[in-house]
Amino acid sequence: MTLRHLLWAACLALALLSLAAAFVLYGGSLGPVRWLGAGVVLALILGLSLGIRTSEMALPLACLVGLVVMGATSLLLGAPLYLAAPGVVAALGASDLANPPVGLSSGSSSASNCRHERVHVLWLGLVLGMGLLLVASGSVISLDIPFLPLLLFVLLALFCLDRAFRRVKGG
Amino acid sequence: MTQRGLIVALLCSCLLLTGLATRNRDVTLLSLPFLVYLAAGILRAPSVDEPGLAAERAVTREMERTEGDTWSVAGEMRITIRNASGQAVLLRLVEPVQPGLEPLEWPDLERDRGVLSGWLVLGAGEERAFRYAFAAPRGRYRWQAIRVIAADPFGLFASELMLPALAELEVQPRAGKYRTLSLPPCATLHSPGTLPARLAGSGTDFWGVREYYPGDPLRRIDWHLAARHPGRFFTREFEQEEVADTGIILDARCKADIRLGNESLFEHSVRAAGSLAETLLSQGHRVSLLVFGDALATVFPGYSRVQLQRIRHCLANAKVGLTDSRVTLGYLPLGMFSTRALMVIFSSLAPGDRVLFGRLRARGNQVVLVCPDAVAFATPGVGPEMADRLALRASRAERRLELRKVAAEHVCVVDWSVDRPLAPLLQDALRAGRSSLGRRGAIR
Repeated sequence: MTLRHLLWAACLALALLSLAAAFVLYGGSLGPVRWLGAGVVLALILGLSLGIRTSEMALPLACLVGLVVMGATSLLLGAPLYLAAPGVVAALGASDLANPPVGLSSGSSSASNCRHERVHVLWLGLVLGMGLLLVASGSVISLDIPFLPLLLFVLLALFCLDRAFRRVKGG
Repeated sequence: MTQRGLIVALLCSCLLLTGLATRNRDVTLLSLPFLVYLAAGILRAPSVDEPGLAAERAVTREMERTEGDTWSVAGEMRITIRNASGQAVLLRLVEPVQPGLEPLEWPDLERDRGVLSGWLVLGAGEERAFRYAFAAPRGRYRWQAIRVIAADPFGLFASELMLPALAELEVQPRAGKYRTLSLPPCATLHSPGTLPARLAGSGTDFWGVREYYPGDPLRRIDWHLAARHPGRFFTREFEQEEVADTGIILDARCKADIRLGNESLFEHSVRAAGSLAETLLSQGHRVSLLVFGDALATVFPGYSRVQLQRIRHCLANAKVGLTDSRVTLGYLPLGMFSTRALMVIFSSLAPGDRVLFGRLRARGNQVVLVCPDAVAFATPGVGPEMADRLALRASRAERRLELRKVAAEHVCVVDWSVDRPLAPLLQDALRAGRSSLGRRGAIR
C-alpha cells in the first residue's frame, strides 16, 4: 500500500465520520432525515472509494459535489463548522488522491513518478491544511461587512484569480 | 481549465453565493479551502510559452501480415518526449490513430476509441519513450506533431502543446510479377527491346530474304541462295525486336468500387495494376499510369526500376474518391499516352464510360479493358430472398450487355472475377487482340 492509498483511506474515513456525525448529532429536530443524511453521506463515500479503481474522472467528481452539498446542508441545519469543514476538506483530498492526473495506478513506478507523487501529496497536505487554517481563523475573527462590499470583494477575488491564471498560462 | 478545475471553481462559487444568499458565515467560510486549492493549481500550472519540451518519432516497418483476406504491414511507432526545462512537468500524451491504421499493442498507453493516451511525469532533463505497434494497409501515413497536455499536479489547469515530430510511412500495394505473362501488342516503339515487331531488322529470329544492297553487312549475305542465282546476292533479314509502350488507367471513382467488410474491389485493381506494371517493366517495356479518382495522379511513360518505384508510390497514394456520378471515363485526358500504346484499363465500368473506348480506338490505340466482376464480388453480401436473387440476375445481365457493347468497339474485354488469377486471362486477351486486329473484340 502506497502513501497515496493510506492518505486516501484516511481522508475517506475522516469525511465519513465528520459529515455523518454532523447529520446524526445536529439533525435531531428533523427526525428520520438525519439518518437519511448519514446514509447519503455513506453512499457518496462508497462512490468516492470506487473512484480509485477506475481511471474515470466523473465518479469521484460527482461524489465530491454531493459531499460538499451535504456539508453545506449540514451547516444550514445547524451543525458546527468544526464538524462539517474537516469533512468537506477531507472529501476534496480524497477526490484528488483518487484521481491523480498521472496514471500512477497503472503500475508505472519510475523514479520521476514516485518523486512526483511525494511532491503532490506534500502540496495537497499544505493546501488542505492552509484551507482549514483559513476556515478556523475565519470562524474566530468576526468582521461585520455589509452585503454589497462583500459581493464586490468576492467579484474582485474572482477577477484576481482569473488574471493570475492568465498570467501564469501566458508565461 | 479542465473539467475538474471547472467543477471545483463552480463549487467554490456556489458555496460563496449560498453563504451570501442565506447570510450564513459558515457556508461562506467553507468555500475557502476550494479557493486555496484553485490558487495552488494556478501557481503550479505549467507555462505554455517556454515549455522546454521536445519530441521525436521513429516509425519502423516490420513485416507483412495477412489476417483473413486483409493484407497489411506491421510496424512500430516509437515516441520520445524530452524535458529540457529545469523543472518537472506533468504531461498527457495524446496520439490520435491515423485513419486506416489498426493499433495492435500499446503498452504504457490507454486506448479510447481512436485515441491512444498516457500520463507521464518528466523530471528536469529526463526523457521517456512510448511505443505502440500497428497494422497499416496500403496507403501513405504522415505524422506532423505530437499533442501533449501539460497540467498542474492537481489536474485543474491544462495547456495543450503541439510538439513538432515528423514521420512518414508509405505502404505500397502487395504486387508481384506475373510469371506467365508475355506481351504481344499490335504496335511497338522503335527502340530495341524483346518483342518481335513484325518488321525486318536486327533481331535474332529469321524474317526473310531480300536482294543485296550495297552497305549490307557481308555476314548477312545468304551464300546458298547466291550460289543458286549466279551474279546476284541476297541478304538475310531478321525480325526486329522492340519494346512495347503500355498505358495503365486505374479507375478510382467511388462508383467503380464496392466494399464488403474490410475487402474492397478497388484494392484488387490496385494490386493487379501494380503486378502488371512490374511485369512489363521487368521485361524492358515502357509503362505509364493514370489514376482517375478525386484528382488525376499520373506517372509519365518511362522504363526501369525507377519507373517501377514511381508507379508503386502513385499506387500507394491511390484512394477511392470522386463521388460526382456525372463524371465518366470519357473526360480522361489522353495526351500523356502515345497513339502506339497498348492501353490497359482497370475499371468496373459505369454508365457513360464507353465514350473513352471510342476515343482510344479513334487514336489508334489497342485497348484492353480489365473489368473486375463487381456482381460476383458483391454476391456474398446479398440476401437469400427472391427479390435479391432477381436483382443479382438483372445486374449480371446488365453487366454482360455493357461489356458486349464495349467489345463491339474492338476492345479486348477481360471479365475478371477477382478470386481468379488475372495473368492467364490477360494473356489470352492480348493474343486475341493481336490476331483480331481490325476485327471485333471479344470478352475473355
